[in-house]
Amino acid sequence: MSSAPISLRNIPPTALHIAQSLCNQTHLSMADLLRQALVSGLLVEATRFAPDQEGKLGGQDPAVLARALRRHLSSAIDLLIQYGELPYQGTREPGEKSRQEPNPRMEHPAASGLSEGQQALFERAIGDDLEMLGLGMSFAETLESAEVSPESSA
Amino acid sequence: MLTDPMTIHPSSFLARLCQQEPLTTTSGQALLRQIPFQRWESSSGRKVQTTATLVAVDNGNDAFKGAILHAHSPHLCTRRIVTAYAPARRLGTGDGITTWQVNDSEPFWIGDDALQAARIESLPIGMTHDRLPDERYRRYLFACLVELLLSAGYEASEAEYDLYLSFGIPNEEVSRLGVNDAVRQALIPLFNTRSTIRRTDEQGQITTWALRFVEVNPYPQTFGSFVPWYYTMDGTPVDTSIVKHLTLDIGGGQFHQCEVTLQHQAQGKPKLRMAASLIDDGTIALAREVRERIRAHYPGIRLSDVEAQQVLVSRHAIIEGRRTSVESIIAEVIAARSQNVLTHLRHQLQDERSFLMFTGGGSILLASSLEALVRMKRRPGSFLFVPKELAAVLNAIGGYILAQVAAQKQLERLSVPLTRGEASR
Repeated sequence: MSSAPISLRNIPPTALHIAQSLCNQTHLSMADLLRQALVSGLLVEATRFAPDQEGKLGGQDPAVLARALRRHLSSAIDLLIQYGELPYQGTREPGEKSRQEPNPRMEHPAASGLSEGQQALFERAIGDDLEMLGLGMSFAETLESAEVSPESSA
Repeated sequence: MLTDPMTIHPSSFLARLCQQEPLTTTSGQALLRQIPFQRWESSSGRKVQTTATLVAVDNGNDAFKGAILHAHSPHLCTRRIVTAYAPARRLGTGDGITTWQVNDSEPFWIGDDALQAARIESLPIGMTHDRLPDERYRRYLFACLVELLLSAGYEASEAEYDLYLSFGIPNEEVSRLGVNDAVRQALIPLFNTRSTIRRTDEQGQITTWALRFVEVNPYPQTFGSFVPWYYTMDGTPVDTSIVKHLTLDIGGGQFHQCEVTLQHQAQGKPKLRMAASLIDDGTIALAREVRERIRAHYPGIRLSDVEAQQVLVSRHAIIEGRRTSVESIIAEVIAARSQNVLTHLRHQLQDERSFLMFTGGGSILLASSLEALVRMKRRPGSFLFVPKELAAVLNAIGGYILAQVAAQKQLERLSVPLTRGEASR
């Protein structure tokens, strides 16, 4: 394996701050911590891309990947539940199905987080420009603020 | 498609489209395809969670132009469908014609299929509040959206497609305060209303779709073309020395200009100012002249506006049962009448402070005379003709980028994980 140094320049500062805090707390070396993060992160990354022609995710059988992920994600899911941040939590009655699951016939685009750096970059540039020009009006918000929310069925 | 770095920055969204490259950021991430969204449900009196699919529509007078990311790959799909509607009639043997029904409507045809019908009907043109209230226009709009979804690899499903829509409307209907009240009133009946669309294809296969606009973000049509020229895939402005950018959008119905001033700062990105205005009729003026000349030759042929536009574009008409070239008539009309369109350009051509970008279906139609005039007056590097593969749909493509921005902003407010498309493979 190559022992070439790996540049950390493009890692968001907040991520490095988390890493440093965890090293201080656990007395793990930075290298060990990042090694673990790489393993966990790649398991998550494997779910973000469409399956290959054999139905594998990141070269892994989906069932195997799911088992491996469970061990890594259970603590994260606990935290999301505890703080009410689990996606879709609180918007359905017990047993109620989502109104629109992603279309099952589509190659499922899996949920994933957006890296903080990129989100901010995208937003600051175009988003600020549009605000400056007075564009980007949300019709839903406009109607909500006017307390009008029409809904009818065909 | 070759691009000139003097006029299209190699990092711009437009350059990526011209090169037909996957639409991923520099870090390899794909654009948003769907986002979690909470829509209001009046029956339960609360918001319900759903997944909304991003889509953009440039609501042109001559044609529907739509843009959406492909369902499985990081490529943008676009569709242009002629604004034509005709009640369907029963056909005999042979392949049928794709036939539509929206909710309980009459069966109907759209686009080129409708142009073949004996009873083609003119849909309203003009401002948004003139067009959207027309029930036939709404049916046409939903049918076009299904065609767009199909071309992007989406399939009919029992599940509803909730759409997060960027909606291009005439520039004069949008101001710093948002859309005017007439547009707002015209959009309300479309918003958050489920429509069921039944599509019967040429082989008689029936599929049913359900669509709902859970969000509508109106934007000025012509500004849409500036967006892919100016921004990179990461959403940052390109590094340009241009300070005055003028989009000249020659559409079928209207000819618009959109001037964006880039005020460069000592630090940070340039500040933008935008002003858009209607210059004149679009190529419809030429189409009507073609119609009159054809009628002078063949008194029995009475073309509607949309049929005349189609003759202008295809350079053929159905005469005495035969698809006949009317190239000579069209060449005469373009030579005589295009001067009127081009007269409006003289001022812009002479004002050498602006960089000119020509786009819209009309810029393709008038390409030869337009290019000759511009090359005579302007130096290379001071103007751009958007490649013809993109010129007719660039406003919609810009709308799709604007949908990305709005969606990301919304997600940041909600602070929820995103549903991303796959990155390049």
